[in-house]
Amino acid sequence: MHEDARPEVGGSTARGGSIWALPATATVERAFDDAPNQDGMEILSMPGEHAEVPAAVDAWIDAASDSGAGPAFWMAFQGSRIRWSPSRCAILAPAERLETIRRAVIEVSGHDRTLRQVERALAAAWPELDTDAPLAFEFEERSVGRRDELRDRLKRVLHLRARLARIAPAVLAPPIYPPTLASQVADRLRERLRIVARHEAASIQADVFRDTYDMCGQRASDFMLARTGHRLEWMIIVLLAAQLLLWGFEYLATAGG
Amino acid sequence: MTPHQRCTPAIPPRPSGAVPRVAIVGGGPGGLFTAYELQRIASRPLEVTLYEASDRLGGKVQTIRFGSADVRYEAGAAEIYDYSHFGHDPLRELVAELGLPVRAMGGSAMIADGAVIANTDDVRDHMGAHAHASLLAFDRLARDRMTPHEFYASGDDDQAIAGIPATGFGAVLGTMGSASARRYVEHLIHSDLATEPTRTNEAYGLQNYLMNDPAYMRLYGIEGGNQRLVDELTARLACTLRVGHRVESVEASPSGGFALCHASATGHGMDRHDLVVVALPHDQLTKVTFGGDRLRDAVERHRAHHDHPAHYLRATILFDRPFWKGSMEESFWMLDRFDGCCMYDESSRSPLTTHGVLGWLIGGDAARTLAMDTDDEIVRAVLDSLPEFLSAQLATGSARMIEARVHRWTGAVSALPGGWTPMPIERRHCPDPDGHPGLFMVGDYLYDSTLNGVLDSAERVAGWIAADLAEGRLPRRHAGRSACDA
Amino acid sequence: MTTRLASIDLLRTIAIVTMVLVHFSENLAGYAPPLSGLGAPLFVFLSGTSYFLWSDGLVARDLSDDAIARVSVRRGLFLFGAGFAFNLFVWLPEDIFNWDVLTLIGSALVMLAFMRRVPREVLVLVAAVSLLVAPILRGMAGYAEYWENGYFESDLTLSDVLVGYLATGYFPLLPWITLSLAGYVTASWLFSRRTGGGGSGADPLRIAAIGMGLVAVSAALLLARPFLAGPVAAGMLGGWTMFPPTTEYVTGMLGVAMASLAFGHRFVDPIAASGRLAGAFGVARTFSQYSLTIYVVHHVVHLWPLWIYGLRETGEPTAHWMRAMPAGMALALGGGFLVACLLVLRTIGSRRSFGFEALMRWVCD
Repeated sequence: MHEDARPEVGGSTARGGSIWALPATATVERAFDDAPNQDGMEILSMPGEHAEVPAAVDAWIDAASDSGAGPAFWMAFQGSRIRWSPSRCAILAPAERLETIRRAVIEVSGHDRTLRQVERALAAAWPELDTDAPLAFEFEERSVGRRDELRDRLKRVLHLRARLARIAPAVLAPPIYPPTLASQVADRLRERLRIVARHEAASIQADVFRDTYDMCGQRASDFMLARTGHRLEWMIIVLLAAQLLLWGFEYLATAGG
Repeated sequence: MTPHQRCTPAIPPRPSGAVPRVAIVGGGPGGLFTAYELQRIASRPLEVTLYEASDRLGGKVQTIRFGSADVRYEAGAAEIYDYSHFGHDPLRELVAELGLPVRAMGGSAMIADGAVIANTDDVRDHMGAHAHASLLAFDRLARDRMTPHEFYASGDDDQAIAGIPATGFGAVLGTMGSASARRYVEHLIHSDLATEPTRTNEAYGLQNYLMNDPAYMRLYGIEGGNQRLVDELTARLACTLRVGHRVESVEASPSGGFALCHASATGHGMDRHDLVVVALPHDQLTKVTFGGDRLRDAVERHRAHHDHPAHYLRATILFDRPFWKGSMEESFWMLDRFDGCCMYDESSRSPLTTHGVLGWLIGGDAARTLAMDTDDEIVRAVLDSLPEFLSAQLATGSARMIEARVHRWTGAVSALPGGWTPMPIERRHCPDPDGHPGLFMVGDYLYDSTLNGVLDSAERVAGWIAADLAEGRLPRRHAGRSACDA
Repeated sequence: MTTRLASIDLLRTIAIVTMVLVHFSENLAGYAPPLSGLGAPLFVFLSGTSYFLWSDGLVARDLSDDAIARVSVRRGLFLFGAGFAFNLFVWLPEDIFNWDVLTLIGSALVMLAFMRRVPREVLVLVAAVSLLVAPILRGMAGYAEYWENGYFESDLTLSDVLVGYLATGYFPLLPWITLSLAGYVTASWLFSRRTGGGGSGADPLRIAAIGMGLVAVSAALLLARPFLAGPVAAGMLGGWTMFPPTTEYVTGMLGVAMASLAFGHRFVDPIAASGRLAGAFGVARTFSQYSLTIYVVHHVVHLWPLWIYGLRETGEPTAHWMRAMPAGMALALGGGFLVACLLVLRTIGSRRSFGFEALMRWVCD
């Protein structure tokens, strides 16, 4: 679990120049600060029974959505309220449940983060795949210079695939039984974020990339091996041709007197 | 299935090219599945006639609309078990083959003592640490006794559940150290068992506990009502359907085959068939007279072996709105009333409706007792069972009851499918393989009291019939020994 | 159209200028200036270099290997045939099988058309083998017998024709093909591939170092020859001569060509790319673009008057060959020809629709 909790109790929090007066009982912490692309998340925790989400909390979440981080949704479960967006999340729950729910939300948000990063990387790599795909069928002399580039791309894809595999046991695990509060919150949040479907889709895409670059690597290796053998054969041919030339020339010279 | 072990039906010498005639007694899922399977896999033409005593097909699968609103509810089987994530699931494949969309169902909460217990944290908070530990220990024991594979394979073979003795489930429950945890488990599974936990065996009890775990099994319903399964099957059947024809007697005919006597509003009739498949619920077997001492005794032995009646009662109420939303979000949950019953949010099957439909599935002795009351008394009883946090809305008038329906399924299911000690598969389906190899039994009570079970049963029988007919084998009679044991 | 490289234009201009001055001086005055022997090897080396850049450009335009080979073979055969025509009409009918530069470059084009896909290491081997086999073939054929009068003479027999083509002619295939192949390989090392989106050229200074290394080898062979065993010294080495093209000469000129090209690419091309000295590079480009035309025309310009004058005065066309005028006048005429060429080509040649090169493109492409 990646988090760097610097809880701020109540008061206000600023983003983009606006300030919201959050309830006094609310604490805000940051999570995933070590994520790339400054992909961190703010988590607001507020204990107590809440029939409705306070307007300030709503506004705090909506500000993140408006800034393009992604849409927010809310979940209700056993007297708890969770408003979730990719960059901000508010958890309003009875005090004895708050910590359990918070941990479950952080865990699933971490998986969501990983998926987003992989999805972004894969989306950016499609044009490269289109360019490289012909090399999966046939590798030519003029492509020899691109071996390093292809190797780097395969490495990158394997890294993405490994990231998906690492979160797979948690993402793809069936709901546990008997369920705990944490598992139920996590299951519901996973369902809302479509984590399983996205993981499957990303895995399929990553497999396409991996297979393509794997084939490119195989073709490149085969080509280099064949080229070496090819060269040796040519050298033998050249030497034999030279011998034939000498023999033929000797005959010509003799015939010419 | 090993067709070569099957005893060949006694098909009398008939003119070459004669089409074999098959009678199916019972228009419920068992009969429909059998007819469909025969149609699908028989390599020779068959003349199939299906007899149904009532005025509708479908048996325990029934989707009904309220009179005062265009809202559906399930009056019989409410959910279908899904094994497709684990292995071959013929019923799921059939549903897909028929083009029927499905909706997953789930529910893990129980309302006990007026409080919602949705997870083990709630168990600990409401029932204490001792109960929590006891519940987890029981859960561990159940998993140790029955793995998901054994759960999936249970019912296929008589020794499928290796190592589980034919002991009562009560003994297993007795190992729980906490009374409240034991009560929790009993209430949890009571509506699935449809009988008291102490009256079933360990295997059946464990199955009904572990079926709540998604790793063992999942649930789904058919979009638009489970009745669509019956309707789609019926639409595809090419057999003769005799709805409203009650089969009164079945007797072996001296010239070979069987003579079926049936009665309908238009009178009595007698039909001759080469094979007979009795696809009736267990409690209906006594409604048919089996002629001949041998056959009568065999069927009676079969009936007695499987005579473990269980009971259901369904009460379904239409409200003006789903007032429980906000407190209860799942498709169903358990309630600790009526020794443990299941409450269904029937309106969750119809997302577009603004009405709310709550269904109570009451099982076991509570169902049998309640069934003797009038419908109004039953409706009052179920409304009284609502916890305060839900009934308050009715009391204040913020929600209003519009219509109520009650369906009694007394003795309609089995408390011990397959009997206390299950018979071999072939023997389950053929009570007298030597004397009457052409008479078969199909039913959910032979397997697990579910639609999945009855489909398995129907597939077995249809497969044997198709194999024998394809090979045109004559029967071999062995005195005192079933040809099935060859 | 491939982007022209100023370094290649400059080197080809040097070759052309050298060739024109040397030919004018030798044919008109019988004087071989000190630059004799510089132009031809540079020109042949650059023919391989240019073929690489040209074929690379076609690959970048997604032309199939088959199509490239077809065009290359056609061009090669065109030049080969043009060589015969050149000898027939510019020199004398009996000189038709002299095996001059045109037939050599034509042969080189045909060879490269088929060897283009062969690994570079194999091309290097072929070049090295041709260099080493050439003196052996000359020894077998008795080179001196074909050059008794100081110029190439052979009988019109099949064996003499082939012997002359392979080993004893003016520009026999062996070892001159070494330069063309080396030019192709050097270009493939030096210039970044425009196809496939990857691979930059090798460091030019490294190529230049190899070139200078070859010059050093040549110098070492020259110095060591007196001390080497007889069969080696007499059979494989022969001092620094162009006719025959000895091992030392070819090695040394190959090194000069490689180093010149590498240094030119390293230092001259960036200057040209920046736009400086545009006028000078423009002159070089003009000469380079019309190199074959200039080759043919300069021969016509200085030989035909010689033959006509000789025929008129004495009845023998070659009567004044190599003794028509003093060397200074001959060199001045050569220089004047170059200036006139430049003026004419700059005026009417911008469209590149006339000349020997345009004819070749029209026939072969």
